[in-house]
Amino acid sequence: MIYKLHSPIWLTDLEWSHHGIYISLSYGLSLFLISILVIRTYKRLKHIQYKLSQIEPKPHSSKRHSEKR
Amino acid sequence: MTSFSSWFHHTANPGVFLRISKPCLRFLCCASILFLVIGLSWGLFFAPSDWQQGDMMRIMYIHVPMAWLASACYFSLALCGILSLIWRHSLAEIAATEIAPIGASAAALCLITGSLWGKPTWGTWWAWDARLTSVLILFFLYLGHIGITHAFDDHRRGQKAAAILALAGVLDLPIIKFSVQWWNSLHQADSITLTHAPTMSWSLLYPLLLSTLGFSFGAGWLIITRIHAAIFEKRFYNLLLKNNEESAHPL
Repeated sequence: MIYKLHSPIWLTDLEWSHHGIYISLSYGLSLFLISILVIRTYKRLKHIQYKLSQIEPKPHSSKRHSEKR
Repeated sequence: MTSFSSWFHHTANPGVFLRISKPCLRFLCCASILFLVIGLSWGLFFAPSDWQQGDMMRIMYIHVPMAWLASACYFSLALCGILSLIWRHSLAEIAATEIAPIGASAAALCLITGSLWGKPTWGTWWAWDARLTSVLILFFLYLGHIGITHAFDDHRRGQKAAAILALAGVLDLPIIKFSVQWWNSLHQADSITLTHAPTMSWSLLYPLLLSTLGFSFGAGWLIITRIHAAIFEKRFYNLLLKNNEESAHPL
């Protein structure tokens, strides 16, 4: 397992005991923010589709069609 | 060339884009979930720890895809800028407005996860290092793009100014890429390049590739869905305007 590190000041005076906190924070925060973005986008799409369906003329119930009848 | 040109202008029509891109959404969503579940669980639970960094390198499976997405989204933003400035491609203007928040989020997450990685490895949350600073500038460029797009009453003017900013800011991308070679950077050099074999073990690289693919498909889904929503919003306001005009001036 070779992971080449180039910086000369890498890994000096480290404490490895708190790694779990940093890893959990990274994953937790990222997935939380991404899920907010996904939920907001999906809700935005569904909301505008619903609003559009309320005012969009239906193919067989258009104003001109009902006037003709 | 003529067929490409006609296809190119044909896809500028939002209706055509909706029809073409709708079948892709389900694929992007499923592929994203699949690759992310496999890639992230592989990276988090099954990939071996690094011989120097131990388990800290597991942050890489979020940090690297976010860095890639931040750069890729900005490149797309600049491309949309060219399309909207030269050909007034209406879809490119909508796409640029919708790509910017996704790119800004990716850049922000790249900076946050990088900071969380930097604290235990470098001993500091932040350093005014070339790579870190150029990514921070990229984040500010995204914020500037979002701000300028919405700063004008006339949306066209805002989008034009934002497109110019996107084109000017594209210079930051090669600086980000080569910063670790041009300057003595605290940030490590690239482990994956197109010209050389990767400098990391394949057992670490496979989950990284999978999670990068997963995040890329996810970003694709997000961007296309946002473009769909923007097209529907535009259609909604046009219909509303038309209905108001009809009720104000009945025939």
